[in-house]
Amino acid sequence: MLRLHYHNEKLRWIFQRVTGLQLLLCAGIHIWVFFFILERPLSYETIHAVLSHPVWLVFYSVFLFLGIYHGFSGLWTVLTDRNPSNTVKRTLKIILISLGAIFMVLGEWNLIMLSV
Amino acid sequence: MKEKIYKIAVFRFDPLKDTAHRFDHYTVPASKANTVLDALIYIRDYIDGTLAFRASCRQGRCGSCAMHINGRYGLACEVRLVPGQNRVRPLGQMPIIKDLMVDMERFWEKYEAVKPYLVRKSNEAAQTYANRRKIEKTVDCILCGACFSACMMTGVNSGFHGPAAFVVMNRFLLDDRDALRDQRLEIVKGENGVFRCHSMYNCNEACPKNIKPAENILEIKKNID
Ligand code: HEM
Ligand code: FES
Repeated sequence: MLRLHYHNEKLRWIFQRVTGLQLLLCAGIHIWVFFFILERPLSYETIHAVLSHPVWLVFYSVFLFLGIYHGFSGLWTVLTDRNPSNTVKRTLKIILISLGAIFMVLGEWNLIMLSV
Repeated sequence: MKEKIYKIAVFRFDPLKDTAHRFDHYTVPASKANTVLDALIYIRDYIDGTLAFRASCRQGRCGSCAMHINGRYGLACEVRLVPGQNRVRPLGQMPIIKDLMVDMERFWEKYEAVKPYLVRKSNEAAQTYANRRKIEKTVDCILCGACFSACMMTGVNSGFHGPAAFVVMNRFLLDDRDALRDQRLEIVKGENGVFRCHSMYNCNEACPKNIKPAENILEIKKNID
């Protein structure tokens, strides 16, 4: 069953910061590649060429996962700041995890479609 | 010292009579050495005897006179009047009893919850000079409630202990003689404990003793496994 409380708040606290830093790094790489390496203006062919390389497909999949984990975990933090009732927390958790999963599937599907 | 006229707007609210708060404007003769507390005492003694506020030591030791003065929290007995307009409000995040006096019940409840006392490992447990130096800053806390009021979390999360309670907890975590380390950490490791702190640093800004509660909170976080 869905656990209401995280076993380890410290771990979640550290993950929020670690994924934040990783996002910063990923965003830096992404901006560097898209602004300074790739030929502009960007075209479908250029993006397709980047994503058809397995390293970049993995890079963007990881980037996507980090963004979704960090964003939804952060959202959970903000939305539980007022210490809501267990019913609210349970509902919230189901909604956030489902939305995160849907975003992940949609995002990954798009990445794969652009890579083939 | 030369006396001048100072202007001061004071928050007024009597829950038994008023439906909303207001600011009453007073003019007070004072010199540039006078504090906001001097002005409040003057108002109570010579202008309006119904003004309610707390104060005792008048020297920044007792912590009774903390309030919101000219845009930031501070001790009324330590903050001097400024030329032009002065403005005082009561501490935030706590119910108002009357005017500048608030009900600090919840603040004390949270303070008690962290076991603010030493439980010795043994009767012989002595403290080294070096260890005393380590807890020095935390011992300065006069429990005025300024950090509790400035914190954005204490007002919205009833389970959150607040900066002052965490400072006291860290004071005992740092103390070599204390036997309750694990029990103490157990109290604050949950979802509304130290990890609920968003590191907004309002407590550091508010503390009149410059204790830096946010740094103490970080130290507690490090101690939790
Ligand atoms: C650019 C790199 C990023 C860094 C370095 C970063 C860092 C952080 C840190 C340190 C926290 C914890 C703050 C706290 O406990 O109060 C946090 C919280 C949060 N982050 Fe990020 N973040 C980044 C990107 C993002 C992105 C792209 C999103 C949106 C998808 C996001 C959404 C959130 C949310 C919703 C929170 C919770 C807010 C809170 O706890 O106050 N962050 N982030
Ligand atoms: S009156 Fe004691 S701290 Fe101000």
